[in-house]
Amino acid sequence: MRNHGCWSLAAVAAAGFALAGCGVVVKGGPLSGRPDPGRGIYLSTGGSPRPFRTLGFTEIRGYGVNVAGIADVGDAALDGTVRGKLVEVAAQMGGDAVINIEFLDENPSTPVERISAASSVISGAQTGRPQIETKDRWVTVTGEIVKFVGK
Amino acid sequence: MRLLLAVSAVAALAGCTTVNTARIPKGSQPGELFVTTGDLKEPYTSLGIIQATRRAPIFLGWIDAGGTDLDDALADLIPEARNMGGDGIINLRFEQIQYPPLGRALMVLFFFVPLPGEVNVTGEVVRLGAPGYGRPPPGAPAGQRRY
Repeated sequence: MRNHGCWSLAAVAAAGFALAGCGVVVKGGPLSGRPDPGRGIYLSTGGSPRPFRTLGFTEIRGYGVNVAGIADVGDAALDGTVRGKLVEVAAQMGGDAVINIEFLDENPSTPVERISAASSVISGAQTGRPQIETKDRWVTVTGEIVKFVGK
Repeated sequence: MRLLLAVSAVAALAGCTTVNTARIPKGSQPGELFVTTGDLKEPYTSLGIIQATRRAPIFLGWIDAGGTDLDDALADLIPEARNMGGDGIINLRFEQIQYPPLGRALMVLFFFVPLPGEVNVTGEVVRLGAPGYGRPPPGAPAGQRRY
């Protein structure tokens, strides 16, 4: 009877935990403000602060790996793709800014997934068969590369 | 047989158009965080980009216990933007997996197959005021500006 009660409690706790852990919020560093602070490539999810000429468009799909639910390796985070690769591409094309940036972290790990991956490492270590889970991570970023014209 | 007829009737009456709407949670005071899909013409300081994702199975076509709709994603996003010290979220983009009523009705029959539910909302958190002229960022010592 007592054992049954424990199982019920565990099931309810697991269900509650699973439902609570369905959401995740990921964040990246700041882009450029307005007016243009004039430092490096201007980055904005909106329009341009100055008249411009469009040089082209870009879509970048950053790839990285999440190891054991703890560490992100490669361009698995928003910052690596937006402020790293996107700026690099814009500079190569001779652009001054990337405007109308859109981004999507395609499969961010929810707290439940992170805990599950970390616990499998721990349980693997306890049984003497260490097992490190890895998860492919993708971040897609698109934008319009422009060159400022006039003053 | 009766269940099949009922499901067919629901499917026939419901049509194939799916509509999802989200209402911005009302702030308790005027001047609280604003959310827009548009740009901002006024000077602003970017505090960072942000994304809320919710993923969970939908049971029996309609039971979305994990909350994978736009309302729930916005409810996740807004407190985080407030914590970042933002006045608003601009250039909001959203995407939610939608299922037509027929598909949902069929899932009552195939009750053992949950539908995958997912919603993504992205945006840029901003503070009103030009970089270098606005209020100091949260956590910065008094009298110091970021730029």
